Amino acid sequence: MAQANDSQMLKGVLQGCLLMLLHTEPSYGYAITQQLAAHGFAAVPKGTVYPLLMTMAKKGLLESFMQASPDGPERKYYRLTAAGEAERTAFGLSWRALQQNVDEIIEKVATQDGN
Amino acid sequence: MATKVTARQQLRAGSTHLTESNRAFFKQLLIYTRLRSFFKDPAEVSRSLLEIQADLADAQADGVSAEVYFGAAPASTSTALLHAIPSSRRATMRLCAFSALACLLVMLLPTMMLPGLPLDVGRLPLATGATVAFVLGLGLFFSRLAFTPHPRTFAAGVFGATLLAGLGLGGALPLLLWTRTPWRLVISDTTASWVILGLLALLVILSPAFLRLTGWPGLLLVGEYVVYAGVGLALRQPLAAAWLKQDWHLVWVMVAALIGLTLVTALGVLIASSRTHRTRRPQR
Repeated sequence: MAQANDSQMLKGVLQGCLLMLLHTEPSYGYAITQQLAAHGFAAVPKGTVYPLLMTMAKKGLLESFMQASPDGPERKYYRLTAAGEAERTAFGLSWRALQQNVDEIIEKVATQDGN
Repeated sequence: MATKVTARQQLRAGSTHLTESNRAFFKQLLIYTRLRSFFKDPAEVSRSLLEIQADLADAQADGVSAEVYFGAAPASTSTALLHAIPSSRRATMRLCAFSALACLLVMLLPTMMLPGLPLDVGRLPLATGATVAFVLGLGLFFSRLAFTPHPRTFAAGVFGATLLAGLGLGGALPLLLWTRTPWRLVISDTTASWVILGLLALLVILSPAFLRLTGWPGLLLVGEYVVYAGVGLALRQPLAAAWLKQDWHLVWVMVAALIGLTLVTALGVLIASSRTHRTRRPQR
C-alpha cells in the first residue's frame, strides 16, 4: 500500500523534478535517470522517463537536439524552453506551498497523537 | 527516405554494441514499437528507438541489463512512448495509399477471374478501409507477441496468426467479390487476359522485395495471387474452362490451392520462428 502511494505521488512530481534537473544544464535520457537515482529516485523504472520526456517535448516544455558524444554516436539531448522555465518556476512555487500545507497537517496530527 | 535508411542503419550498427540478451530485448522493443506505430512518423519513431538503444548501451557499460534498466513493463512503457509521439498525417496517408494500391493489385485479379463479370471499381474504397483495419489488427496482435518469454508460445502465436490471416484473406476476398456498388466497368476476355498477364509480370518484379520484407507470411499472398491468375487465365481457355466448370472442379482447385498455401506458409513461419527464438531469453 505504501509503495502504491509512493508511486502515485511520484507520478505527480516526476515532471517537475525533470524540469528542475534540466534547468541546471541540458541532458540526455540515461544521464537524467542517473541524476534521478542520485537524488533518491532509484526505484523509478528508467523506461518511464522516455515517454515523459516525449510528452513534455510535445507540450512545448522541452526541446531536443542532437549533440555529439565523446564516446559514441550523437545523443539526443533535452533542454528547457521558455515555457518549460515558466512551468519549472510554477512547479517550485506549487511544491513549496503544498509541502508547507502537508507538513502543517502532519505536525498537527503528530501533536494530537502526542497529547 | 535518406533519413529512414540512415536511422535503420544506425539501429543495426548500434545493436552490435549490445550483449546477446540486451540485443534480444531491444529487438523485442523494436518489433513491438514498429508494429504499433503505423500512424506515427517513422523517422520520429526511429529517433526514439536510437535514443533508447544508446542509453541501453550506457546502462550495459555500468553493469545494468536492458530488462532491468527499461523496467518490468516494457510493453506499457513502449505504448506510453508511442502515445507521446505525435500522429503523422503523412504516415496515415501513406498507409491508406499503400493499402489502396495493394487492394487494387489484389482485387483486380480476383474480380477478373470469372469471365464476363463487370469490374466493380466501387469496391476499392471499401477494400482499402478493410485492409487498413486488417493491417492495424495484425500489427496489434503480433506486437503482443513481441515480449512473450516462451519461444514455443511465440511460435504458436505466429503460426496461429498466419493461419488466421491466410484463412481470413482467402475468405474475405470471395466475400468482397459479392459486394455490389453502382460503379462497374465491363471489359473483354482478351483485355482481361492481357491485364492478368501484366499483373503476373508485376508480381514477378515486386515479389522478391515483398518477400524480403514480409518473409514467409508474404508467400501466402503471392501464392494466392498466382492461384487467382492461373484460374483467371484457365477460365478463358476453352478446354480448361470446360473442365473447371464441371461439377465443383473450380471450387476444389481453389480450396486445395489455398489450403496448401496456408499450410506451407504457416509451417515455414513456425520453423523460422522456432529457429529465431532458440536464443531468446528464458522466463524471468
